[in-house]
Amino acid sequence: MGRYVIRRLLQALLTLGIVLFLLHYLMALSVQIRGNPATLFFGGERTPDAAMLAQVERLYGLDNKCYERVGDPCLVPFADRLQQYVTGDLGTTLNGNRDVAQLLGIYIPNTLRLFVFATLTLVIVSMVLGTWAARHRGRFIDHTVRGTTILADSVPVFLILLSYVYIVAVPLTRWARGIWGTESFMGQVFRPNYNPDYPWITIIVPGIIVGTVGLATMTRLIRAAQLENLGSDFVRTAKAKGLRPMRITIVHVIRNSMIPIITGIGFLFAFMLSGAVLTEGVMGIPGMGRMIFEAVQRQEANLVIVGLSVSAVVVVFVSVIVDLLYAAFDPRIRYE
Amino acid sequence: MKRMRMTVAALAAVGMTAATAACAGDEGDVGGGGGGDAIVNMQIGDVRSLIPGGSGESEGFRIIKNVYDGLVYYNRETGEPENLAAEEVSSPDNQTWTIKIKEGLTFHNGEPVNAEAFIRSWDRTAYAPNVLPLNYFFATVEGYDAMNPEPKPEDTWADPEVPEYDPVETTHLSGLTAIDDLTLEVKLSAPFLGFPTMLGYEAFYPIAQECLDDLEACEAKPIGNGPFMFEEPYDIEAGGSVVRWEDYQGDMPAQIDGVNWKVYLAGDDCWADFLTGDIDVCRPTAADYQNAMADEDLTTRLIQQEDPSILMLSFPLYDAKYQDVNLRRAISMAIDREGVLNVVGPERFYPLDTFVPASILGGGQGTCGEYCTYDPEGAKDLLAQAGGWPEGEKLKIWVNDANDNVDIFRAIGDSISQSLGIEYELVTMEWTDYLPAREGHQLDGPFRNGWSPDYNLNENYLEPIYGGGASVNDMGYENPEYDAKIAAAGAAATLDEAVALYQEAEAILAADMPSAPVFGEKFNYFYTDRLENVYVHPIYSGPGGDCELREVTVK
Repeated sequence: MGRYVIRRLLQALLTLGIVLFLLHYLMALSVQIRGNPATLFFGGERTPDAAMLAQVERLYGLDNKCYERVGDPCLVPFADRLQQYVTGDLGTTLNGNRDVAQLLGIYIPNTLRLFVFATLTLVIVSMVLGTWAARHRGRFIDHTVRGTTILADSVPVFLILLSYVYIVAVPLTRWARGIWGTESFMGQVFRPNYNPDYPWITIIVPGIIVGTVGLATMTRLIRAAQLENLGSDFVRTAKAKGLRPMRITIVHVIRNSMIPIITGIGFLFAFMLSGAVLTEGVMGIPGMGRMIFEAVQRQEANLVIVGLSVSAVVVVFVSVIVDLLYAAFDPRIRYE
Repeated sequence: MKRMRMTVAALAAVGMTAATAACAGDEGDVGGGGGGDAIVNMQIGDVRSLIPGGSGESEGFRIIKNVYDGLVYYNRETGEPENLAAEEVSSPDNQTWTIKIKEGLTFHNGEPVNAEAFIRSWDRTAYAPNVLPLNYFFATVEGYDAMNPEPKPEDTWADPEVPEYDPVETTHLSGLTAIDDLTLEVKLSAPFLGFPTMLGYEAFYPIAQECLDDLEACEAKPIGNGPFMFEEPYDIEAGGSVVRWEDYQGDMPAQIDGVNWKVYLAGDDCWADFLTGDIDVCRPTAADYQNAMADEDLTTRLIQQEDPSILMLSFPLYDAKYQDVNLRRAISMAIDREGVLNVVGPERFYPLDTFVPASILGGGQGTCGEYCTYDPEGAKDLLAQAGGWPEGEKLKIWVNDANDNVDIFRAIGDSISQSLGIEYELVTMEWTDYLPAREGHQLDGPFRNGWSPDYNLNENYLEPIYGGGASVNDMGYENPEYDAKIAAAGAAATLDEAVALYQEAEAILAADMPSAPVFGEKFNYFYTDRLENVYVHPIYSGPGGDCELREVTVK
């Protein structure tokens, strides 16, 4: 097992290296093909003084000759950047000259909290619905569950968000405060905007909304996996032994259906980041999704690359965890 | 000479006729702060700096003006500067000013507020290598040039937007002298009658020595001399709170226990939080505007005032096509200002027929007169006199694409096009590209131009926008007669005389018409029913919702 973990971690590092290199290479290609972004600094049509252009290139880290040869992977600047990352230097923003590492320190915890609630929502709701539908296969409950989750998934996240913020949140908050008071949990939880004074409470609702992304996929995955197990020999044996249905579901069916489910969660995790961009924007949460979105808008190349690198790290990390969990859930899988 | 401009539309706000909407409060059942603490919750945007001289934009200033006391404070009804930290500001010749500071004033940390406190602050801002945004406010003080040499060649700066200087020996403005502990003498390089009117602005606030010793700590937790003080550091992302300073000795104490500022960044606004009672003063965005105005309960808590910010369509006088004043007049007369208002929201603006709005001292002269009045026939006649519009050519109107500028200028362009029968093209640019293009005289058609005042004097709408000569101002406007009038006004013996001379300069400007005044702005701020005594300052209030925090009370 230990050896497997090490091997898996090394593979993860390699994947990460490839992702980072691809990011870098795409950026280098865009400079090589579309032209030097440093000239943009001067308003496009102006032909800047050569010395000033060189100065801006230094500022952007674009002063390497490789950026003039199309297709050149620009390995030297790539190595430089990795070196900086290793020493903890993530650079600064163009606008305001702020330390990117410091910004990440603010944004990452917010997004993590958002994902905690989103994952909890996704797992709990889809487990309950999927299990319920599987146990009542082909009957009214099954059709209802499949129908409503498809419906929920078809409504775009931004629509759910906007209707929540502009229609539901205000009356709900006022109502809750009329009963429980402003400072209570209920008085805060429905607020239309994130508030840094209540960093956990005011992120619950946005988290639940992000959690609805991929609800249909997940519910169907769970339903299918459980159906497969429900018809299997060991369930028939368990039934024959006279075990209660609840015990059969939890111990034999759910545990054995975990493999595809965990895979699905790992996959949806990356997907949720897109939901986070919208949610963080609409509900005013200073998080990673919003940061990347704004960085793209403001052409903060460094911030974009760092932001995407961080999400790549997270996705790779989650998939390692998923791999390791396989062994925990399925005794037939042993890593030697 | 390099001229600085207020690039951040800041310091917004309104007509002297401070419409003080009374609070028809019924005993509201929601929103009342639970603990009984009278804390007011305000919205705020990105703060650049909280140390005087470093902000120069609305968001920093709305905190600074409550944490610090300046020498004077602008009366919210008349706009006149009234002594706050100053006992007396006087001058025999408008060139050497003597400022007496009140006795017994201190900073939050106990340091005295004396002549030295002002000198160290002004020296810091005026010192070129500090690269502070309000540096230019000291250009009129003697000794400024010694502290502000030409910067090093642009291509040697590490960051092309931050000038660098060779070491500057002079660190003190020679025009500033502490006559005694509480008397400050200021020598200007030329007589300037309006000097006392500038003293209420952030650039002229004092700074404590402890703050200079550790600027970073002071930036997070400012050490002021005003009625509110910070106990916890301010956070650019999360906002922060101030509490009432119990030992405040000044004349404008706080009535509430504290203020909490919550940050709303681009794309996010306070309206939903206002409706739940979590923000106390807020402006609805365009999308929420109609609902808000239709709500009878809400409109009892609305403050609607004229804002001294103005919007203009300026002409590129450096372009051969726009040399004839009749062409410029024709374009201005072709704009149906009322009609455009109906398209973009009638409550947001009012039609402007003058170069200085009425809410500013010496403004409201109506100098644009008939040329700012919609008259399509008259416009066509003027265009014919100017030799007509070149066949087949499009009128290019340049605009930066922020907010709903594009919608507004499309409506303006439609109106011009319809009245004059010429085609137009709206060219949009990002603000960061637009600004240098405008300053660099690269726009080949009429362009959007806006202005918010720095201080309450008509001069502020004349000299900074149209002065400096053709190579310096955005329009490429130059008229020796106009410049002479401005200079004469600056040297006038009394304020009344100066204002009258500036008005004459405005008349010259109107005759030349380098810009067509289009709209004056209005703001609409709503407040929650727990507040009373909500007043909005006519000159200095933050955009998006603000009020006089020294006067507001909580029921």
